[in-house]
Amino acid sequence: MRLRGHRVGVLRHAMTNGAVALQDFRSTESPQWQPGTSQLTEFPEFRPADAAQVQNVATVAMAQAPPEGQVPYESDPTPPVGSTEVPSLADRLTQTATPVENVQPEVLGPDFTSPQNIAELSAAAAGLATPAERV
Amino acid sequence: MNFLQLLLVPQNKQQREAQREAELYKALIHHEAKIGGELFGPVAKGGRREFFCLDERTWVWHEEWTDKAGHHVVTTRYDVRPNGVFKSQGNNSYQALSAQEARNLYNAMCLYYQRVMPELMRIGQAA
Repeated sequence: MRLRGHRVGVLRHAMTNGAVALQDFRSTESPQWQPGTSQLTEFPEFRPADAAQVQNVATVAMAQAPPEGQVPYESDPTPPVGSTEVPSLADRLTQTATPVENVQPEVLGPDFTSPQNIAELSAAAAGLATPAERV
Repeated sequence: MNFLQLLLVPQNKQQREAQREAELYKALIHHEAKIGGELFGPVAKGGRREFFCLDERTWVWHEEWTDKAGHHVVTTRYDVRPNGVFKSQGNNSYQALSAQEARNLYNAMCLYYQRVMPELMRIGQAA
């Protein structure tokens, strides 16, 4: 399963990168899940039961990831042809998003946490009360 | 079989193999997106939620729901950089994450890893 091995490598590296980038924000506090208050513009909070399961996962991932400069994983480091086209929603973003390097502080986008948006999104989130139904 | 066909046949075979790999990779990501979408609790009937790792530095959150105002679709892309995480929604520019949002994203990444890795291992054993 070459693809599976590739995917495992991608995830381990993603965890390592995330741990490095977010190290200043990490906290031992577990955010509490508050139904109806989650704003879609903010990353959603967690149910307490789930938050309790988050323990040292990034540490394990970092230990499993190969050192910098080594071949990251068993397969071709280049993703398979067409992989970035999937899902299509991600592809659309990839095509339209501005590279981070080109973003200047003064040209950041609209404030997603504006009162109007918060009210609108909170109202939408408040409707998330029925059991999950996948499409 | 003429010379042109001789040249084309291996290429077509390679293309088919590449296409097959792309489809399998797509299926893996879709499977992960489904697992990721279930990490955050219930989704309203008729709604849709996906959360997945696109590559080593990109995470995607996608939510669809319907209310009195109509159908809504919000897709957020998180780009992980060594100096922080930036997000963009729709066609809008990037902005840096707040501390609380970063903590939530970090926890989500950990939880995602916990749930998805065993699935990938299971798939490998079944193959």
